Order: sequence, then C-alpha cells, then structure tokens
Amino acid sequence: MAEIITMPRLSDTMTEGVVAQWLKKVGDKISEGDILAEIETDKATMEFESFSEGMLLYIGLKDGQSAPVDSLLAIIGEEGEDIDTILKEFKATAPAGSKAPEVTKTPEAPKAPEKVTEIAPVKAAETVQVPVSANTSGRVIASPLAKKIAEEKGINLNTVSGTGEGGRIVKSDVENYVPTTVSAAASVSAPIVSGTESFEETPNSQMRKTIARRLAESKFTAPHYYLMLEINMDNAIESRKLINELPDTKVSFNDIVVKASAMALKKHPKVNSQWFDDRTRINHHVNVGVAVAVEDGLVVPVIRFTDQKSMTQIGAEVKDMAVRAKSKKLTPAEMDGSTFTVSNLGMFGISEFTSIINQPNSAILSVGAIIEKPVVKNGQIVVGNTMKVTLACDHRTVDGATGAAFLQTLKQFIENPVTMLA
Amino acid sequence: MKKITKETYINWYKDMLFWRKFEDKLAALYIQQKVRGFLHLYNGQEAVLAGALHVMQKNDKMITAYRNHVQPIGLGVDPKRIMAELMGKDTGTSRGMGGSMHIFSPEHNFYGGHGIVGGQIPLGAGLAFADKYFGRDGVTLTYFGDGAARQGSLHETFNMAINWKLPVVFICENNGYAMGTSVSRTSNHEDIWKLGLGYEMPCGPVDGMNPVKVAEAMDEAIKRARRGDGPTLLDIKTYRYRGHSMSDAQKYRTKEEVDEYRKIDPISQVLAVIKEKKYATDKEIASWDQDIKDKVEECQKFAEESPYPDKQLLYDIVYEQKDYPFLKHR
Repeated sequence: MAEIITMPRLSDTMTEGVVAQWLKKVGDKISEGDILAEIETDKATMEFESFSEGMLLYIGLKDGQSAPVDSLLAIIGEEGEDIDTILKEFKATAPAGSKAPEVTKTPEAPKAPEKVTEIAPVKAAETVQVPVSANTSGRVIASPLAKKIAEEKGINLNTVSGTGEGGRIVKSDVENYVPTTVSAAASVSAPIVSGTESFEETPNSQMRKTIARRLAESKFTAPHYYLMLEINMDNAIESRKLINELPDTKVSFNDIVVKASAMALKKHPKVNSQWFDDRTRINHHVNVGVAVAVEDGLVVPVIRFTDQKSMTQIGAEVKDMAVRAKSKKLTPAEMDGSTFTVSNLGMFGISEFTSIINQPNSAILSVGAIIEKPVVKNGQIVVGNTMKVTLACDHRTVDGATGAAFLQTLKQFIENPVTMLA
Repeated sequence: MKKITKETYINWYKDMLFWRKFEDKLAALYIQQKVRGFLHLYNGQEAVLAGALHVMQKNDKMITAYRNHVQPIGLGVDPKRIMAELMGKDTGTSRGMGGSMHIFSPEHNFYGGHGIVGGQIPLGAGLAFADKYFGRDGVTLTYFGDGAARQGSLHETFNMAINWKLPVVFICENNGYAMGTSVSRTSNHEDIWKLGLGYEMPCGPVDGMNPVKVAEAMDEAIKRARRGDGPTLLDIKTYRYRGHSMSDAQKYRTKEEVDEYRKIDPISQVLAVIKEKKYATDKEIASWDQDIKDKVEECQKFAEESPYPDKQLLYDIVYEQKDYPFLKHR
C-alpha cells in the first residue's frame, strides 16, 4: 500500500517548508532512514529522512517550491502502484493543502465562533467605502452623526457636499443625498487617478539572509576605499584569439583576469591577506573566488591554488562550478576559503562598478566590459579597446599605495599576457 | 548481580529495539503534527537504560530529564499510554496534560520527566532522602545530561547527598553534546565523573554503548547505596544519533562522527552476541523484529483512536492547590 508523505513539521515553529533539494528521484528505492530531501524550515535547512520503505512513486513539490506543513510532498509505495486514486483521495480529504486537525468525538464545535468573525459585516462596509473618491482634499469634515448615518446607508462621504460651517457635512446633507450628484461633483473637480497600491512579500531564503548578513558585516566593519584603472585590452584580445585557436581550448577574458589577479597577488602578498583584531594574516596560497549569479542571489565558488593553474584549467573549473552553482549542487567546502574575489559584470555591458569586499578577503576586483573607444596612442587618436577595473580594498590591511602597486602589476599582466610566463 | 544469560541478551535486544522503533515512530508522528510541542529522542542511548534495569530492584526509583519516553516503558508502563500521552490523548499517562517532556508514573516508580535542565538532580536526592528517612528499602537512580552536569544545583545536591549518605546513584548520560555544544567546548576536561572527586564521592566513567558494562557499574553503585554507604557518580559515555530535539539541524557534528558511533551501536552489539553464541536463529530474530514492528503499530493505533481529554479537565487535574487563582475561571 502506497504511503503519502506530507510536508514535515521539522521544528516546533515551522508552518511552511521549502524543498531545498531532492536527494532521491522518482523510481528510486527508498529504505527506512534514507534522506529523501533537504527541507528549508524557518530555522535551517534540514535533512528529511524517510520513515517508509518502497519506491519513490511521485514528487509533489519540486526543488525550490514551498508549501504549508502537511501538504502533499511525495508518495512512496510499490513499483507499478496506481497513484492517481491516491492523489484524488488526498485532494478530497485535504483541501487546499492544509489538513484540518482530525475530527474526533470532541463534544464542542470549536470551529463555529471563528466562522462568525470571518463574515463580520463591519469589515465589508469599510472596504466598500474607501476606493471611490471625488473629494480632492482627501479629508472629510462631517459630524459624527452624519458619519454614522452615511456608514449605515453605505454612502461615501467624499461624494457628499456639506452645508454646515466651512462645508461641514451634517445629518441633513446625508439624508438628502442623491447619488446622481456623483458625476456632477466629479466633473467640477480635477479627475482623480484611482489605482490600487499593492505589493507582494516573499519570505527571505537562507541564501538571501546569508548575503544580507555577510555583506552588511563587511561594509560595516571594513573601511572600504576604491582604486580605478583602465586597461588597454588590444593585446589581450589578440592573445586570447591565438590561445583559442589551439584545439579544444576555450579561454574567456574573465579567465585571463582571474589568472592575472592570482599572479599579481603572488607579487603583492599584502593584498592576499586577512584582518584579525590583534594580527594580520598574509596568506601564502592564492585562492581566487569568482562571484556567480544564481537565481535569487549569488555564490562565490573558489578556485584553489589559482596561481598554479593554467587559464584553461581555471576556465574549466569556473564553468563547472558555475553550472553546479545554478542547480545548487555546490558543496559548502567549494565556496569556502577564498583569499581574494573577482566579480565581473562585463557581460551585462557595465563599464565600471564597485563591489563589497567578500570577507575574510581584504580586497575584491570589479571587472567591467571591454569597450571599443577612441584612445590616444603616440599622440594620435586611434580606435582602441579598454576595460575598467575597480579594486575595493580594506584599509586596515591594504593601504592605497599597496593596492595601487597591485593594480599596476595586474595591468601589466593583462595588457601583455605573455609577461605572465616570465 | 543477576547472571547475564541467554535470556538477558534476548530481552535486551527485544527491549532496546522496541524502544528505538517506538522513538522512530514518534519522530514520524511529530513531523505529521500528531505529536506536538517538543520531542527529544533517545536513539543510541538505549544501553544506559537496559543495563540499569537488569540490576534494579522492586523498590528502586528512577527520575530523569526530558529525554524520557522509554524509561517508563522499561519500568513497566504500558507503551500505548505513553504514545497516547505524547499525542495529548485522554488515555495518556497524565491524561494528555503532560506531553513529551513530562511522562510520570509513580506507581511504576518513575518520577518524571522534567523540563528544567538539572532540576531533577535535587529532586532525585529528595526521593532518596524520603526513603532513608522513612526507612524504606529503595535506591533512586537520578539521571541527567552532560549539560545539566554544569548546573549549580548539582553541587549543592552532591554535598548533601554524600554528607547524609543518601541512597542515590547520580548518572550522567554523557552523549557528548549539551544541545549543540560539545562537552569539550564548555569545560576544561571531558571527564565529568571527576566532579565527584571534590566530594570524595565514588565516581568513574562507564562505556555506555554496552549494557553489560552499564549493568556492572550500576550494580556496584546500587549496592553501595543500599547498604548505606551513600551516592555514586557514574559518567556514562553514550551517544545520540538524532538531534537534540526535532528542530536540530545538527550542524555541529559530522555524519562521519555519527557513523563511527553506529559501528558500536548497543543493539548491534547485543545482536552480535546473540548470533555468535547462537542464542537464536535468523528466523527467530526476524520474527521478533516483526513482533516489535507490530507492537509499535498497535501503540500508534491505540493513541490515534483515543479521544482528546475534555477541556474542563484542565481545571481539575493540573493544580493541586484548591484556590489556585487560575481555577476561578473554571
């Protein structure tokens, strides 16, 4: 007999859960204790173990989807079982995903009083009253009695003209009110644009919360300053063309920038550092993190020992991790341990921008687009290609001259990629 | 100490497996919202209870903290009623008013079930004091966790218990983590048993994954208490496989660590002896397993089919004090 698995309540305050990731797919054999999926609760992402045995026959919520506790999550049963009837039965017994607390032989009917408040007539009257508006000032001056009568009769006081002192609406105005005056009143005053203000709210995902916390922490604790530099890309473009002519080789400009940054860091170790309250750590290894945009956020996979890797290796690793980042398959270890970060928005045509340092790094490089533009060469205006980079530095560890010297080396490497071989 | 025989091993296996499956079932019911509130499970620590039950005598008592569902089962409370208590049903041990953390059954010498961390330590000594004062023959086993061992109440209790030679055994069920904080992070050394040294209280560490070792240590301690030589502190090193409570994401330990402890699982250890000594055939073992599964199902069925208590009961059985202010709303 197939068993219905519902959205579990994994903490005492959980009302809704998000399927962070399925670890089993339809058709998989499930034993008791197997981890079926990771479920994001209000507190943490938790592993959800199976208490049933059999085959996973149906998945009701995909990765990333959320639902209230007790909603249909999956069905586990024997191979070939008919799940359609089970689904129908479940829908019939549990409408709208939220199963009512079991109906037992409790003498009282606790539901009844709640229902009464639901259809409270006062609320309805209020909502009717608000939207239509013919009064330009917005504020309605009326006597309390007039207000009460208007409410009872369902008359919008904005459309009533007052005969009392200063245009105050009094009892007789409301009693003598004829609805046809609406159009007359409206034609006199300027037309009012009536729209509905609305918004939607989504609960913050764990990723958003982490981004918020970490970036705020960085911006508030590290005194940021920024160094900008324009790099001539003519040679880099040529070099890349030559490299990519090699069989099975594909290197992007970003790979060149990552490689050049890693090599420049080796020459300027102070930029490859971390601040502690009582000491400064200079890292001997260079691990460059590459910011990758994913749905609803960003992650920073880390290329380990970047300086020792070829551009092709770097390119392949970045590509692999970016793909896995988008499907949330990166392990925490793969996003941990960077010593420097590169963020590139060139593909969006952004010419230059600044970034917030990705702590525990001391600096982050923001890379803009390569732009074809007039440049001055040997006193002549010619067409050139340039790329702007911005280095955001933590002043506690990297002083202006230190950051500038790093950028100078970086510029030299990128402008003449062949010098990286030296 | 009673001899540890073939029957002992078989009973240990059946009991511990039943407790574990019972707790697994509670976890499954919790996520379906049939068990509400908090839920702290015992999985992995079963040998601590199994070893103790082997040497306890009729008048001996037990008191523990909030990881307390299986101890009363061991002492003879009908597991159906415990399942019902957890679901808040009228047929529960406290008619559904206590819930997970407050299982209680004085008629079976089980004195709870306490939610205040370390709060049961002085209470256990109090039970022992009563036995001594009224000249009754009984030893109180007072359980607490490694987190509660750091409460001040422990020291005040130890001082009086050793001074008056109370018939009590203090048992620290040291599963390595006070909620999510490891013992090593909160103390200078990891040997909680050494807390007894300052009071010259007999004390020592015990392998809590093996019921034989637990029974031996417990036997010595209970005998000491019974002959009037006062308390003992046992630091029983055990492990829990599940989180502290159901909402614990367990980020403070690795899966590898849990797997390491599963290799010395008390149930597997006992089963290995049964198989090695040929106490039972594979077929017999499979039939026990099925019986246990059925027994757990029965408990669930009983609890689910039981009615909720009448709300009015809240006024009638919660407060002992006749003029407690809340009662005027009756």
